[in-house]
Amino acid sequence: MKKRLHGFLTLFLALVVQLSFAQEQQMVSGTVTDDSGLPLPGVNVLIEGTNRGVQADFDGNYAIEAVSGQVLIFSFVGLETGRYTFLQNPTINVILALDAAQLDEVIVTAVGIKRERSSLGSATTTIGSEAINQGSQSNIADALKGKVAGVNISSASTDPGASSGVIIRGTSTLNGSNQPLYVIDGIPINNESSSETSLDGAYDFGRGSQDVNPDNIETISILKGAAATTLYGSRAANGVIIITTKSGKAGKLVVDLTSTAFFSQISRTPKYQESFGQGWDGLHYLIENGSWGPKFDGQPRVWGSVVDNSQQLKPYSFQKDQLENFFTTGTYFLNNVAVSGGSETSTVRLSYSNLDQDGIYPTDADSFQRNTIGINAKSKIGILTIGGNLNYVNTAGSGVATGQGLSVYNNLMQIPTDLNIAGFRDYKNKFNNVSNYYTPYGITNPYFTLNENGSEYSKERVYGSFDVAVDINEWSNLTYRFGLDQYSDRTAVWEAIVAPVPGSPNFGSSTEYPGTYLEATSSVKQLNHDILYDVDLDVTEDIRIQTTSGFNINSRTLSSITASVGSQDLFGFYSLSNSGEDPSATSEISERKLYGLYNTTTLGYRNTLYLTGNIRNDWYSTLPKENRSVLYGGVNTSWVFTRTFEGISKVLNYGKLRAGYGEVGVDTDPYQITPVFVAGSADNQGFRDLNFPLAGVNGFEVGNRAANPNLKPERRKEFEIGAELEFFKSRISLDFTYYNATVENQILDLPLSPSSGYTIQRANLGEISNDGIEALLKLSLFRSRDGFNWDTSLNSSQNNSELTKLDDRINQVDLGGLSSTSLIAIEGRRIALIQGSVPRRTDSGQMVVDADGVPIAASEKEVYGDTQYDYTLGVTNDFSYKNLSLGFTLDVREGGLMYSRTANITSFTGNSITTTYNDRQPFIVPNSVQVELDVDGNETFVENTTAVDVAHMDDYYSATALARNDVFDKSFVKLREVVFSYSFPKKLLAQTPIDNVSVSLIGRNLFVWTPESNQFIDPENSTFGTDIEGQFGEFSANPSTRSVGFSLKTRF
Amino acid sequence: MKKIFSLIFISCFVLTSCEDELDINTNPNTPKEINSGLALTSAEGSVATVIGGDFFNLGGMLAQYYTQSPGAGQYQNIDQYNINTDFANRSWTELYAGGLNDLQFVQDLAIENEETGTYLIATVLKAYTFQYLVDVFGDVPYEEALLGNDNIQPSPTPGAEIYTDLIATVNDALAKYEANPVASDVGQQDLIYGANMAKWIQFANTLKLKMYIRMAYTSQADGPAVMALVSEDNFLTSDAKFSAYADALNKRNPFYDVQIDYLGDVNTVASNSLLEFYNRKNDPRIAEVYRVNNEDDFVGIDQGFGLDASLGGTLGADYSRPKIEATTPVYFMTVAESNFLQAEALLRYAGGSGVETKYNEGVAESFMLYGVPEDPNTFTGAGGEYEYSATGDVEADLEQIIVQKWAALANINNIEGWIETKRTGYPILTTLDIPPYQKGRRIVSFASVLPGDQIPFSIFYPDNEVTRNQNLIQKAGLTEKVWWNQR
Repeated sequence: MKKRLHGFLTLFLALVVQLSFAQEQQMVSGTVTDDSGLPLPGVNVLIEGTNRGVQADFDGNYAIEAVSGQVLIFSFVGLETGRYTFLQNPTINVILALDAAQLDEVIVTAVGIKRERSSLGSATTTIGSEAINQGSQSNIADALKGKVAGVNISSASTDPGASSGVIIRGTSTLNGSNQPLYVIDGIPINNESSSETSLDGAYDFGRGSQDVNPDNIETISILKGAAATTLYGSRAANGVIIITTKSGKAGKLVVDLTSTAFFSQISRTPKYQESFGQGWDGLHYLIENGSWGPKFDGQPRVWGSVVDNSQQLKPYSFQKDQLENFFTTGTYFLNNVAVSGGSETSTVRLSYSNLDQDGIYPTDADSFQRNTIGINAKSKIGILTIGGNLNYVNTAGSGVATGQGLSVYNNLMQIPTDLNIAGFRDYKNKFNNVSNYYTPYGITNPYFTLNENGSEYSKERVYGSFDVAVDINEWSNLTYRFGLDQYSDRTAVWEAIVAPVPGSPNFGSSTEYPGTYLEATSSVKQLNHDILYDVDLDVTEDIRIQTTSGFNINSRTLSSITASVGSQDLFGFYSLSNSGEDPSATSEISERKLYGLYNTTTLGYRNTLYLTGNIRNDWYSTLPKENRSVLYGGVNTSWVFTRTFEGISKVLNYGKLRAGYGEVGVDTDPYQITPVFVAGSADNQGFRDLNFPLAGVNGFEVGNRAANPNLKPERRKEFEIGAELEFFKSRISLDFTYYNATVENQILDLPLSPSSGYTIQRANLGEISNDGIEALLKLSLFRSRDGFNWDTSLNSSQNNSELTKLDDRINQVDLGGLSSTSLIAIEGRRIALIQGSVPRRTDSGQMVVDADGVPIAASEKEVYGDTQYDYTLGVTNDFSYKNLSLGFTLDVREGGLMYSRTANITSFTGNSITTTYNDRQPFIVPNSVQVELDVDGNETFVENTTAVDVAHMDDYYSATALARNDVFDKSFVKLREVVFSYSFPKKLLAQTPIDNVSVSLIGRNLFVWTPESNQFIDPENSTFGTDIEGQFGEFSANPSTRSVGFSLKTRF
Repeated sequence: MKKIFSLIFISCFVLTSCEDELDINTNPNTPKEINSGLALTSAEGSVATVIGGDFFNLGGMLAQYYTQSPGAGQYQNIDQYNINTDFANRSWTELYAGGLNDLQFVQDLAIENEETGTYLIATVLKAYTFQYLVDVFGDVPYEEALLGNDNIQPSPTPGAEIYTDLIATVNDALAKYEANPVASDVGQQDLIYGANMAKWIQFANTLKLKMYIRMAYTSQADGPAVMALVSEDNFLTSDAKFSAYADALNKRNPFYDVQIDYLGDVNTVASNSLLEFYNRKNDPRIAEVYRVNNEDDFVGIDQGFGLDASLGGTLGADYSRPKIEATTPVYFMTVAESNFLQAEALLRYAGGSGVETKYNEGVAESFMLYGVPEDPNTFTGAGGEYEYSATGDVEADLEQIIVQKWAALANINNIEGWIETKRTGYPILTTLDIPPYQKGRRIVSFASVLPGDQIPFSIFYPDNEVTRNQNLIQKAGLTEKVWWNQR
């Protein structure tokens, strides 16, 4: 505001002065554009020989006082500098051409090193603040969705605060995390997931990276390949996301305010059949939790339990939008305020943000809050530069459990299609309470579960860094950087006692539940030290050497305590003490450390040809002593050939070819190499355990993990080539990469045959390869200064992850899923595969059915297919006309299978539209046979004449043999983000203290298109986390949402 | 460049001095060493959890004590004789990598420290466990098992050889103890007998008898060895049971904790095969094996009929359900069982003399075990429902013993109940529409998916083993018999 005021004041003064003293200072103004006529904001305008200068505004306009004869210098990074002498005409419109020699933006690469883009020999994507914050997302991963090629971002769900995962260039490890390393201002941060993926009640409270407020981010660079990530050591094997936060700028104090509000609604529910209602085996039972009853007749019928000799009455007909009506509108409010400013030598930026979210479940059982406060400051005192940032984050959330058992959604999907779910809202009334709720199956009234069960998560986190740099001489400096990331969190999860009144219909039934309570706290700390020595020297006029050497110490510690009780005494009070049981408690501590010594050196020849070498040696605490020290490195090169052949610049204004090779060593989790004795415990039928002490006697036992003193680090080797081409003054640009990565010595858990006495051993077992292409095509279809602009960008990637080798001792790697349908990896096949039961078939392919005509499962399971996307495509279009802009992002993912419990349970209950084959009239499984025994007791096959009758229809739809029906194509096309913005014209704001205002209308996940086979869910949903197991699918995941909102961005 | 090198030099110096600081990979969450007692406690817990949990449920349904309730379906695959290859994943793993591995550890430590008493306890428990593995699964890894890294794919050993070796190792442990009786110092950490060596010797003898009797229909049957044992007459005098349970999560009787507490008591209901037998004999044990239904009656379901549509709409609570409580012990072997074993031994190898006494004692001990106050003599005495009548025909006499044994193992050791039915064929499997339950009869489950009147004779090796152990080949089907099943 000051600047603007100043400008007008100057103008006023200038006019006055001009009147009285002609020939003195005059106001010169004009517009700066590029050679295609687009305005160039931010160009520096300086009067030669003075220190007076201004910047061109957003529309490229400038105004400055000058005396006739003075020279105005127009300069901007990447543009040729323009010199214009002011004579008489007070309007000087300037066209600045691109400067081929200086086109380079500077990119922050590994360990905080800055390099020109031209010098990078590996694919690096950089996203600026505007693109990140366009959609006003509250977490980084969601903000990047659909915008970066080769990066697969998955959200476990649209629940408030739920985690998003990022996998770059495919699966690189089958054991442990595939998440990239997040580095903020040179310091690695924790990105652990706070989620519980139990099938019996899963919660997801997000990932560490979600504590970073996107509004504070200046740029995000994504380093994808080993060639670029070598310098971070093991944790960078999955790529690195480098975040540079905003800092204050020299000049006046600036205040930024952003407010965002979103409203979300349920976007997809499983499609229901509309013909059959409550019952089982074709009969109308009033206590059934399924829709296997007779056809709807619209006639009034009594339903539910008999209570006080009365019973409810309703027409026997389909309830439209039965599930939708249960949910309400979710809200999301995100407010940011930042104050920044500084002088030539010192800058500071302070920010605060508040996020308040309430999901679509009625009540605030699904909610999330986050507050962040950050300060970022930098000061240069002589040869010393001191900088630092400190962030405090607190988050709090409540989640609605997913999965089987007491989860709400699981319960909803078991309600027959003729019952009005919303009618159960008053869960204390006599028909709806736990004693008289219509069914003892599917647990109890979902409103009871929603209101009485719950979870609470809270986290307090502090992270920050501090660095001191000394300029040793003109061409070198020494930096010490310290980073800290520390948080403690607390989780509480409770389930209420369900105690039907004695004598009531649900008394003594499976509805009864003793209640549970669990409380856990953990504390996580990461410390990081780096000492860096930087050299940047022009050896000759043509040759430049940039080299950085460093030493890194990183340590990570974790401690946690978890306690739980399996019953609660008083209703409505949730505590460890509210139980007749002694709580069972466990505690855990874990510590790991690594040292790294590294160097990166870039030789540049005439800003045209670059050669970079990286080398690093790590020492890991987690590996056996003999294998602890790991040396690796890489080389990459780039050639800006348009600077060699300048003649082609009319068509191809920038062209660069690059190639690189790199290796990274990867360690494992702590404590995996030695055998241990563990607390005595026995697996009780998979549902419970036997835990000691018992009767005052404690037990310890030989653990199930066998030792492996020979464990070696994994080694990721990656080769990539690529080209960056910009045509017709950058109207068309293409960035293309092919990469091929191999991860050798995969550290995996070798499942040992239990008869060996052990069940697991951490070992080097396999080799994974990933190869693929990434392409980013940007088109400026229309460019017009005051008119219509249209930019399109397409990013596409194709990746093939394959388990190329697997140790002979195992034939498959179990990656999760269920025991019946599971996620596995097999040698020579793509990662990861879904395997499950298939119908038993005769040699001639006929299906074998049982006495009821229902298919029998074959004794061997089969692989259904893989879970990888064949390709992903992100399409972004931005239109603008004057102050209006419209942008939308489409996210296209094609191929891959997923498992859906939503499909499974709605088939089981007969609610799904898929359960009406032949209108539920008896049918014979086509081309099926039955088994008979001949006189010798041998099996013979005879043609099956037994139809699956009404009484066995449900058995057919939940037959093990037909488990493949719950696995389908997870392809989708999603309208990820639509942003319609309007920036208020400067002229309107001139009278106000406001510099900039823009309002946006934003839609998220407005539409999703899926193939025919998916009648059930948003295929992005996962309850198995956001890493590799998340590819398996969902287990009664909460439904996804679409949201619409608006944001207001203001700058003072 | 000089500076770079000096930096590297400094770094290296720092490194060598703190290289020791990387030695932090010893798990601080677990002890570095443990003693025999702690491992023995855990091992007993593991075996009890399987015998009283997974096996208890499986045995209960296959022995036809229980059947799947309508309105639920957790175990319908058992009633359907459609038990999957992943069914035994947990029990197999818990027995091998849990119980047996710990017992091996105790054995090794005992040998090292020359503790012959502890060695004996571990050896007989190990033999007891291996016997069940053979009896349930058939040929299993034995000789090559429990070697850890030295053999991660153990080949199976033929069941017959396992039996021979188990008897030999038990004999060897007994001999070692007798030669140098070092009483075990594990004390109360032995949750079965409190390290009472006399009782463990009785357990060893009874276990050997059980093994010999199992081999009765094979060429390995060894009458003289059995009679030597019988004449030594040092069998169980108190039940071998694991009773350290408490009514708290993960500390309860395993069947109770899962079926009744966790799964809500909705799956397992009384099978008419046993319920009607008790009922028609007016056997008071009915009220100790089953609970009355919600109308105070004893109501069962014909085996497998719970899956029939005609029972749709009824619930577990409409039927009698197993009477197992949170702190009900898990029985490894009982005095009653020992008496029935001796009765069979005398029948087979002593021409039948003394059978009746042991038979009557078996019934009497069973009544006592269930805690019924009625006088067993009114049942076993002249004219009583269970009066033993020697016919001279071994099989006919055996049927009486085994039916009683079957009726005495319900809720006590269900898997033993099933194993004995498959070994002897008693209670007789009938295909009659209206089974004469009062005689002690089993039926082919109504829900069977097996052709004809086939029933399971063993369980699939679990996927967890077969997929990791190429030396163990999956069996053709559930009807495959274990080695001693030669009748």
